[in-house]
Amino acid sequence: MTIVAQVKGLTKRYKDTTAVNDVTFALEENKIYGLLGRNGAGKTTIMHMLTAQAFATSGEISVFGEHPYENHRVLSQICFIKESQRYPDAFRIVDALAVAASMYPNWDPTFADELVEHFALPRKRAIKKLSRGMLSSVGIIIGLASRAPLTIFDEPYLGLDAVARQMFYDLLLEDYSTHPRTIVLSTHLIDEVSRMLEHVLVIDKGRLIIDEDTDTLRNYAFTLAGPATKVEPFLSGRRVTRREPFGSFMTATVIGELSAADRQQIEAEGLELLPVSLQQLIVQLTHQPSTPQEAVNR
Amino acid sequence: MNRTANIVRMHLRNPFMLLALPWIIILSSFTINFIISLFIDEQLFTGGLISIFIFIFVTGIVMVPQTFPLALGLGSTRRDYYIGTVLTGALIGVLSSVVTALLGVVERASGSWGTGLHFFDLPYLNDGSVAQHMMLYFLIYMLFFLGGLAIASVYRRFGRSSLLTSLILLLVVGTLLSFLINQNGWWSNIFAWFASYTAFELSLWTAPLSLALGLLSYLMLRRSVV
Repeated sequence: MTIVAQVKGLTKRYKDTTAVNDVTFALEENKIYGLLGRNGAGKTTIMHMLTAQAFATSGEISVFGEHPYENHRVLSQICFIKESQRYPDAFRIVDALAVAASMYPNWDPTFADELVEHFALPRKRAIKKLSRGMLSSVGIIIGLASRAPLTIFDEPYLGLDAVARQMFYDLLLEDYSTHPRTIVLSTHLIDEVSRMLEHVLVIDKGRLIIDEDTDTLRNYAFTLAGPATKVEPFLSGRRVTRREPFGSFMTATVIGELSAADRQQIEAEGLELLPVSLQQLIVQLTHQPSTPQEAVNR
Repeated sequence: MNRTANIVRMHLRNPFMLLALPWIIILSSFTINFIISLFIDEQLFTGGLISIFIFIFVTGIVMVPQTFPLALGLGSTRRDYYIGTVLTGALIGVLSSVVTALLGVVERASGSWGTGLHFFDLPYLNDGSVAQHMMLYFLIYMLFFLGGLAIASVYRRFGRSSLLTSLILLLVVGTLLSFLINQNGWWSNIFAWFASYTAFELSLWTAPLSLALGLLSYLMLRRSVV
C-alpha cells in the first residue's frame, strides 16, 4: 500500500482558538475516506492545509511525498472541491469547466460532457445565477472529471435533493471502479455515504478522535437494551456514550469490542444487543455533553 | 510556461471587461468631445485619455478577488497565478499602448479630426516619436495596473483594516512630505526638475516604482490564503 498523503502533528491556531489540534493521519492510495465531524470541527481547515490553500501553524504535511506549498507537481494531482468555492462574476458553467480542464492533466472532457448532461446543467448560464444545487453540481463535475489522484469533496452536495445525491454517489463509485484514486469525502450525511467509505477519520473540536477502517468500526460500539437492573452492572468499567433510562428499562451505547464471555453473559441475561450505525456512533462521540451526569459517564 | 498561459486564458475568459469596456469608455468620451469640438471655434484639448489608465487601475484591483480563489482552488501555485496575472496586464498594456499611439498618429494626420480636437495627441505628452509614445503609454499603464494589483494583494493578504491602515499611513507620509517641501520652499526646485525632462523621460522614472509595486504584490500573494 502506498501512502499518498500524510500529516503529522498538524495544528492550526487562530488568535484565540485552536481550529486543528495535533492531528496525525495518512491517506493510502486508491481508497475512499470519510472525513467526518460536526460543523466547525476543523475538517475544512485540515483540507485547506493539505492543499496549501491555508498555512499550518505547526506540523508536517506531505502529499505525494512532497510539501504541497507552491508545488505544481503536487497541486496538479489534487482536486479539492469545496462548498465555498468562488467563481469570477462573469463566468458561465462552460468557462469554469474550461479552466478546470486546462489545470488538471487527467481531465476527461468526454466524461465532463456526460456529467453535464446527467446533472442537466445549462452550460451557458452564468454561475452567479445558478441555484445552490446547480452550483454544487458544477463542483461535483469538476471533481469527478479531473480524475485527480487525490480528490477531495468538502460537503459537495449542498442544495442537491436525494435523487441527485444518489446520482453523485453512483457516478463516483462507477468512475472509481474504472479509474481508482484516493477520494476523501467530508460530509454530514454519514448514513448516506457510510457504505461507500473504506476508512473513516472523525474530527471533533480540532482533534482526530477516530482513524479506523469502516469494517473495524462496525464492532467499535454496540447498544445494549434491557431491564435497567441487568444493564447497569454490565456497564461498570466500560466507556458508555449514551444512557437512556425508560421506566425500568434502559438503553445504553458502549464503546469497545465484546469478548466471547461478554456475549454469553448478554445472552444469559436476556439483554438485547444492537449494532450502532456509523452516524449514531459519531453523533454520540462528538455531541457536547449536555448534563453534568453525562459528562461524568463519558 | 503552459501554466502561466492557463492563468492568462482564465483572465481573458472575460474579454468584455478586459478588452472591450475600456475602449467603449474611451470612445464614448471621444465622441462627446468630438461633438463639442464641432460647436466651438478654438482648439479643444481634453484629458479624456486618462480614463483608460483609471480603468486599468480598477482592473488591477478587481482581478485578484475575482480570480485568485478559483485559480488556487483548481490547484494553481501562487507564483503561476501572479506571473499569469501580470502577463495579462502587460499584454493588454501593449495592445492599448499601440492602439492609443496609433490613434495619435491618425489624429495628427487628420489635422485634429478636422475640428481642432486634441484627444490622443497632446502637447508635451506627445512631443517625442511614435515609438516613444507607445513606451510612455505602456509604462504609465503598468504603473496604474501594478498599483491596483498591489492594493488588491495587500487586501488579500491582510484584510480590510490593514489596507485602510496602510492607505492612511501613505496619506500621512504624503502630507508630511508636502509640508516639509512647503516649509523649505522646495516646490520651485521640484517643478524645475520635472520641467527639465520630457514626458517620455519622466515616464521612464515610473519603472522602478512599478517594479516595487509588482514585487510587493508578489510578496503579499505568496502568503495569501483562500
